[in-house]
Amino acid sequence: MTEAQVLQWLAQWRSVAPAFVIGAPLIVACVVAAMGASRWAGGVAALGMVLTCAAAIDLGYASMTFRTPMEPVGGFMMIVQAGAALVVFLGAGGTVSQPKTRDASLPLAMVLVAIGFALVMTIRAPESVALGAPMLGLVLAALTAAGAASHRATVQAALMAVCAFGVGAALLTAGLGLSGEGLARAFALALAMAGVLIVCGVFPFDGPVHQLQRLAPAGASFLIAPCVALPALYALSTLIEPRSAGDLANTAALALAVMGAGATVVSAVQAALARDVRRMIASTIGSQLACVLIGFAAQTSAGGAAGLVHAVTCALLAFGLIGAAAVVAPHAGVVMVFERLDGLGKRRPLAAAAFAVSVLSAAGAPLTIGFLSKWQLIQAALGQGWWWAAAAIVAASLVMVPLAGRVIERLYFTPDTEAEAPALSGVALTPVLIGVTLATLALGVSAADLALWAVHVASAGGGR
Amino acid sequence: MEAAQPLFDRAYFVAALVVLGLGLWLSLSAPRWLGRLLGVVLTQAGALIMVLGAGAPGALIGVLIAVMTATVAIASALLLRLQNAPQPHDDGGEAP
Repeated sequence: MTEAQVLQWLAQWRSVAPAFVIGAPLIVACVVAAMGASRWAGGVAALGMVLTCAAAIDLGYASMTFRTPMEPVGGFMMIVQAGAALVVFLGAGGTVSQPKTRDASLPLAMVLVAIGFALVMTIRAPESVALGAPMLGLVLAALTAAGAASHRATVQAALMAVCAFGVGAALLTAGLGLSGEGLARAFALALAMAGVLIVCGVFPFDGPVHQLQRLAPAGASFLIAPCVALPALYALSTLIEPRSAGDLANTAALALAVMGAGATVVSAVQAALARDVRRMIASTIGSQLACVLIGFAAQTSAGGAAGLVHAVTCALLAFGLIGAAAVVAPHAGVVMVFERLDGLGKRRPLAAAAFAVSVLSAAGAPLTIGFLSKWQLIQAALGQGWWWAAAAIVAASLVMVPLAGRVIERLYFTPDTEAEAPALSGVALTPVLIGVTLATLALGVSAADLALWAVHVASAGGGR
Repeated sequence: MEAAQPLFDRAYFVAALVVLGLGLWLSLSAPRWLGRLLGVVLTQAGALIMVLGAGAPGALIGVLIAVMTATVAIASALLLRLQNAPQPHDDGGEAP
């Protein structure tokens, strides 16, 4: 086969790859659900997942190097999504296949469906956002309830989330469907923005999506920040410019930045004051998502790049915190007091390391990726003249510092008081925890390539 | 949407706003889950009337109908699960 034939074959493949990336997880999910309790169901799901993610990474890379008509920033997000999808699948696979769960095929099928909808959102089209975000949220709520058959509070949280995703979808679709000039255009944009903010959990603060993050089983919890909120935030940034111009675009961007600045501080304070580890995790992730929103709201290449790098930070720390918490307390809806972290460094060194590194990254500590991405966010905010947004990012990081100290003290310097053995072996989550810890530290030491790619795609994506 | 009509019908818009507002109010403040879910469906119905009146593309209308169907289906399953879940002693009532 000559080089020209290979290139022609690749071009033909990439023309159908978007349909494959979106359709394959949904079809494999149907097959896995139909297989029922067969022991091959997990293998089929894993094969479908690997093929989908390989195709998504190839498509994303080709988009970033302008070899497909797809938008470069969408390509970057697609690669982040594909990586996150693999981690989610590993994490979810390790937590839904508990001894008490006889049949893991339905939860695995739901995870596949959710990942399919997450990949839908990286394609820059209004319909894909309107369909992907709420459908993914609804599947997630179902997955949460499936993993918590007898826990009333978790099912109630799932119902609240269904209400939130339903309302968010309605507002988003109404905003996308309306047109007109002047006030009508501003009204439509406000509706769409409100819809996405509700779906990705930035608004209301500590709302239904936070509650779902707190009460969901680890398998579903893994999905929320990386697969629902991040693509939704990216989609939100794509809504502003095509639908508005001049003053309206500036006003919309400013409104989003104000919302992000408020949410990052409020969520960081909530995390610092939390007495439940899961609530602390949900609020910490919420604070980082709000930082991503500030970056995307800047509508500049520097802001877009900072938002993209912080999206990677956010996904990594979400996986680290949720994965480590799943090792300690895997069951949904159970309050996890901070005492359960005591002596974890001796009992579960890997989980403790992942937890500590992720909290430090959330606080923006040097030598973690969180430091680099927050630095970029502050620069982007100052470049836009939003000193208050930069101050909010700094304040949120400072609020997280005592929390990080408290967590590390419990992990490594407090005697172990845990009487019962952890319910989860943690073996399935080992690759997740190792990968997250190493990536957070490695990118914190040298993230030049990541930052360059982010600037490259953000500049190509139309940032001012 | 690029293909949408420039101006929507005023009557459609007022009707849609009323339905959407009622739905939002119900979904936020109804004391029971059924009321809240009715509120969500009304909000989505208001959005549907709004996009229909604005002459939005069929794909968007189809998406909204798909999301409405999924919302009702998943909410029904969750309500059934909630009814079958063991009654708590301390979580106080149906709606949080």
